[in-house]
Amino acid sequence: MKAAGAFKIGTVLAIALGIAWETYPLDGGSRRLAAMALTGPGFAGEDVRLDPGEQAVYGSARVLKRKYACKAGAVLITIVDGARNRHGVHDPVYCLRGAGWQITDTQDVAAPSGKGEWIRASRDGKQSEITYWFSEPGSDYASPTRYWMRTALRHMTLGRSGSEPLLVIVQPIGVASVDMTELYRTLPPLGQF
Amino acid sequence: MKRPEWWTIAITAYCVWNAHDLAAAWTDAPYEREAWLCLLIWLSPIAAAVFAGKRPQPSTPLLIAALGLALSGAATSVNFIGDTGAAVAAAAWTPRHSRQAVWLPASILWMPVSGWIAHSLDPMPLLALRILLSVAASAWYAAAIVRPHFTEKRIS
Repeated sequence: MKAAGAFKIGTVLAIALGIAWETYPLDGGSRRLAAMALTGPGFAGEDVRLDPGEQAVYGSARVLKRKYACKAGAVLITIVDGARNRHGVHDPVYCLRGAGWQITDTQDVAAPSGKGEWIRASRDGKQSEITYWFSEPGSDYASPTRYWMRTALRHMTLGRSGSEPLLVIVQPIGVASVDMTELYRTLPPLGQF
Repeated sequence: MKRPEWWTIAITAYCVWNAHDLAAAWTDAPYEREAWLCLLIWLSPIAAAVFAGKRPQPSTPLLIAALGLALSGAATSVNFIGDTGAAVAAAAWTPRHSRQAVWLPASILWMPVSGWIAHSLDPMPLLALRILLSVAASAWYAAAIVRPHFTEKRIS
């Protein structure tokens, strides 16, 4: 009987622990998002509101969505901090495919502090391209699996294993393509948050 | 038939609650819309067991495994692990039979991870494939449960 009682108490404690773990507020990348300058020498930005569909997908994740104009061209930049809702951060390839886009080309490209992924996609005769990477201070990478492992470790250690990686997505506006090396040079905030 | 103990219901309820992100995936993720159909189909052996009067006492080892998976899913914030916990918790309430060893892994078909793994396919053909495989695995197991001379077997 004693063992059965201990088992029942263990069940209650385990469930309470699981709920506490799930709801523990992790420190995210809000300071890094705030450090992303809106305007500066040679560039100007403008905040863009999320549409209802995006709000539903990102949920409680913090999102910065901004248009920038600089010498390299005009771009739309979306940065997602999933500390409060990791499930708001998706593999961009999966999202594009789900939205009906066909991936026509992919390439590894340089990111400000590492490697990103450039994707060209088409839908209904329309071409589009995005470049994305996951950003940690001093380290950028394009692997969603690595992102999930890093964030899983952060959740397990209640945020003590390192900074929350941010998803950065860059899309050209009004032109088919943008020179990313030139963009990093003429839009310094991309490499400074 | 003996009523299930409260802790078996508590573990099952927690595991199901822990998989609550499924609802958001089914609403918002293009690859997951209608994937709830796979879950309905996958649950059919439980309904078959109830209607055939062969609902067993829940399996304690499976419930403990389900709780461990649900806790791991909560600690890592990896939905796939939490969803597997919910599937194992549901399996704890089904009759033990060797066909359960095919039906339980087929639970991956209603989980968003299968959409991610197979996202090189278009969403609609992938959904059709997921439904087809769910029907095959669930019908095979349910057919064993509703047989008149059904006897529970241990999974070997």
